[in-house]
Amino acid sequence: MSKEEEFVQMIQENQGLIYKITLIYSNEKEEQDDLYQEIVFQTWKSFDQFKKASKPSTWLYRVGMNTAITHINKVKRKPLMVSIDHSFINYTEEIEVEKEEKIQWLYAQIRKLNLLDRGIMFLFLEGKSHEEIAQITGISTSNVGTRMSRIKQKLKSEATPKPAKTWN
Amino acid sequence: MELEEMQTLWADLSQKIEKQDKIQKELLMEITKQKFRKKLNHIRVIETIGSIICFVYAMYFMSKLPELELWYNQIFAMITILIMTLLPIASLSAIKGMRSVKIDGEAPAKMLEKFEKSKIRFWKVQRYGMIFGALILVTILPPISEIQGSTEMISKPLFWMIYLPGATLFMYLFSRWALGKYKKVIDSSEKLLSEL
Repeated sequence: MSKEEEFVQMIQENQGLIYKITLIYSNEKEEQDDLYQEIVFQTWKSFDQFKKASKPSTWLYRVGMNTAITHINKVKRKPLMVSIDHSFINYTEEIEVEKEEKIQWLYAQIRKLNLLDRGIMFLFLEGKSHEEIAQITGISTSNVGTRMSRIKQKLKSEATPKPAKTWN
Repeated sequence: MELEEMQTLWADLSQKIEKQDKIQKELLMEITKQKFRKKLNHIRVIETIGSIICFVYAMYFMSKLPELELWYNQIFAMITILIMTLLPIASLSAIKGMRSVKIDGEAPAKMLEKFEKSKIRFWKVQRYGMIFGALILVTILPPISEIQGSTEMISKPLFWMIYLPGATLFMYLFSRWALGKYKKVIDSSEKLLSEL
């Protein structure tokens, strides 16, 4: 299998992960598309590292999160020429209205967190243990625990999702 | 909403995402190639424009150095050559440092710290660049006048009385504008570091 084929296969297998990173690190569709493309590009750029990595999933989480963190700090970019097929991002249309509201609320709460906590919360939601989160983010396990407690408190203090307003 | 409920909701969302169509190979490679070209072009523009202007000036002064007879013009020319050679090197190295922060699997906490530190370094180099830029405004003129054989103008006190305040005002306004731009960068850097 050629490098290009291996890369395509890896992106295809992990495209869900990349989409989720774009969702928690950016608010607008255009930004999400741009971030998606940036993650794909960074993945290609350091693909040789991926092949050497002992845990490819850890590597991909790191590349995705690192790209999102740097991307969010850069000056506003011009939209790219290539546009992503709309069907990739509009998956929420298939989800029921109530769930959609809850999901939107969840994104909003996560986006209120700082960049690193956002990543920690994302990994927690992905079902990662504190040890795994520590390994991916580069902070200590005890620090993950402390941060998670703070995040919990912060999220608890926020109101639960409000029902959508009805207009008469 | 409790964290457990959020996890369930997230798992549900993940399942829906996994059901999506796989991105096509052609589109994926086109995205990658276009990004790659964009990055290369950007780096090329910074490196060529900045370096060429400064190095051409430095080379010009170097070639004209033996023609200068006045001792202070020789010193001024050497200062100009030195600044015009070292400044772009320092600036480009700071830009390179900022761009070369690798997103190749390093832990986000460490990467974020490196990224912000290199941003601060870049800002510092720019600040010194402005100070040396102001110095060049003074040191560049006398040797140029001697090379062109028109020292008459710079020997008049009136010229310096107009030129020095004018050049200072220009540098002040330019620096204020540029520092304002850089301040935004350093502010966001500090904010990010404090969040870590």
